[in-house]
Amino acid sequence: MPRSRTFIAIALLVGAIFFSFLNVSGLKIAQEKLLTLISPVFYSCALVKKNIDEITQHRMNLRQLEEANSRLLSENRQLEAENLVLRSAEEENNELRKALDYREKSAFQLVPATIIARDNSTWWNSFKIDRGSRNGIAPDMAVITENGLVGKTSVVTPGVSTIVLITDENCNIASKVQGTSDQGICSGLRIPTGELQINFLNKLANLQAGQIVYTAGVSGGIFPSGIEVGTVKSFCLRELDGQAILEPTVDFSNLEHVFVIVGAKE
Amino acid sequence: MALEATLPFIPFLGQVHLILFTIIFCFAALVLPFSGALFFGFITGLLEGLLVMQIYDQHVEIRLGWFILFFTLWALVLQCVSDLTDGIRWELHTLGTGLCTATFLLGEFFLLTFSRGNFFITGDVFIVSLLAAGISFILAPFFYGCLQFLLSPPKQVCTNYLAPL
Repeated sequence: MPRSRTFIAIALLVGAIFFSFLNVSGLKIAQEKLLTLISPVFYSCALVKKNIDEITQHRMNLRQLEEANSRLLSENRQLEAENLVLRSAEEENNELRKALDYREKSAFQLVPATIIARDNSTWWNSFKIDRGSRNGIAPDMAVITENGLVGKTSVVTPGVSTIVLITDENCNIASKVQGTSDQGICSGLRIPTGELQINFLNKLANLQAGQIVYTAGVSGGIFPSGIEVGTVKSFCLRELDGQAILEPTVDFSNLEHVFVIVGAKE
Repeated sequence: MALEATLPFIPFLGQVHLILFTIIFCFAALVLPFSGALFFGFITGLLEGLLVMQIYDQHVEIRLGWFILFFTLWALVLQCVSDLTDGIRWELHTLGTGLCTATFLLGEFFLLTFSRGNFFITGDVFIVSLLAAGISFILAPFFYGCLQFLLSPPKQVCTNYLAPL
């Protein structure tokens, strides 16, 4: 090998060693800068995809549009009425909680977001959304849809945030099973199958397929209590604990819009 | 890589991801001169590492250096092989892409398993990795043709040219 080639190879090796020992804060900054730099690509591709979808799927004539509009208006009126009733119920509930010296419970403040990129990595499960610190989003905030829990935010830049999905092994959620007092830690599987596992269940827990699992909402945790996570598919006993396999409530393959819980409503 | 992340899920592939950047990487590693190929490998590793790397509780699961070393080494291997075959061939590019994708995914899984502890390996790991590598392998000749067409020098039209006797 000529001397110049050896020199180049050694220089690149030194570079690789340097990047290996870069500290976490430095890596985070580099990751945020890169995300900010390439976010226009994500935005442009999401826009192109949206336009193609609109052309292929949502081509409606005027009559269909009128019908859809009137249906949505009536749905909106119905939801407004329901919202009014629920708000008064919430106020009444808070009054009663206050009277009983309980902590006041408020609805969540949500930031709607659109998914602009799905991670190309096989072993990690994450999405990128078109909202960031500019919209009040910070790392470790819960992300939901109208159906259930999606995940939590990790790297946040001014315009783009990364969401670690509940199907990722690193996303741990304190969970409780519907109709029982059983609690466990829910997470994704290392080999991506789209399913979830709930570990550290009581050995006496006799979970049945179809039971719903919710977030337990531990104090100081990321996920608020009562958000649907998944449905029990199977339950097995291990040496020290019980383990259940869950089917997530949210269909991640067709997910387009999510909500980030940025705090409690004032 | 950024474009690849915007691609929608393919329903019948389940959890298998479409990996296209290795196709471009292998082509560049074969076409570029030695130093350029190695530098391209370095940059590919750096960008891929920064894009997919997850940081949990001040802990990085796979160090950036692994991504850089992996792609730099593959660039070196492809350069050596292209020297042996006396030029680039589509078969070489296709085979290189398949092997590079498979080793990349398997290497990533092994490092992840070592990092998280509780080491285990099942057939599913190989199925997911080899299926993704297989898709890249099938797509590689198409990309090779397109890239060759885009990078080929324009044909020169010679008129009134008399070759010297």
